[in-house]
Amino acid sequence: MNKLLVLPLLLLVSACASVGNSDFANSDKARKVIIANITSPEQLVAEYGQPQQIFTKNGEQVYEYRHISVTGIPDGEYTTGARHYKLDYVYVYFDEGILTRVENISRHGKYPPEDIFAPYLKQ
Amino acid sequence: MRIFCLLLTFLVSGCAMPHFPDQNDVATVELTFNPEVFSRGGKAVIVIQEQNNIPSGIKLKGKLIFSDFDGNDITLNIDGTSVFMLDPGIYTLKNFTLYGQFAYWSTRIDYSDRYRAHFNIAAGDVVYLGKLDTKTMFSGTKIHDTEQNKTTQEVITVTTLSDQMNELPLPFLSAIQKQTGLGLSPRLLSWHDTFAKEVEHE
Repeated sequence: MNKLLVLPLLLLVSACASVGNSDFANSDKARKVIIANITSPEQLVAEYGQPQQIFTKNGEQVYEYRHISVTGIPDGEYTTGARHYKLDYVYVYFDEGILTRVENISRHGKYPPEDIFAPYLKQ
Repeated sequence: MRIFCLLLTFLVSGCAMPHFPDQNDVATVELTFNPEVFSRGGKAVIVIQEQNNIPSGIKLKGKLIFSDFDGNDITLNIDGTSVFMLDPGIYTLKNFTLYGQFAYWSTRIDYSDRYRAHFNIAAGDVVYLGKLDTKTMFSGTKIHDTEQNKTTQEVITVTTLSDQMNELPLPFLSAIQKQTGLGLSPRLLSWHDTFAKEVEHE
């Protein structure tokens, strides 16, 4: 019987592909947790691992984490199981090693995402 | 039990159906320009073009696989003029192919051993990497097989990189300006044909 259960589970797993740190799959929640618990870059990296990248913006160091997934599992407005994506970005800002603010972006939509330049390139 | 097996087979065969996503789909989402993500910083935009005149029943498109500094691969599927949003860094060409797929038929020409390329971008860059133009040429020698009454002629292709930025539609350039806050500036991909070098030394 266990073998019979494994197959549908494998099917479910194959119906979803993702990249990035799954701690940030719900970036809004992650943002709140970081604000409540993190004060320094060292603490952030110890808790969540190395960021996707670190860059400087307006003199502040920004630690960027992301999680992107594409799934065919019926969910919310995608009840038919059509492929849809979700992207989450979390930006943690530090000024001289002190956390100043945390921002996040969370968007979802039908796969593939809209290429906003495509209408200008149609022959 | 037979009905159950039939259902299972149906489900398993569904794995190969297009609606089951894979890592390429995730990469497509990651590489698609998102104005909100770009405005936060830490991203670059590249524009690259591909065209070819290879005679094929299936229209061929370009696929470039680059490795970044950490050894991660990014795949750029280029359909005419394409825009991608990338992390800053140095990218080295690992694989260049022209490919086409229609239903169960596919065509693929692999140029991985022939071309070398790289580019580097910084956060905030909005750059035009150039146009990859693959032209088909026939060699001068025709070989006639009298037994089979067939004539064959060798075909070679050459891919060159050119700066065709002035041919990009003005509305597209305006859209780039509007979405990124910057104009598109040319910074051609470093493109090297190892075969062409060998020919030069003959």
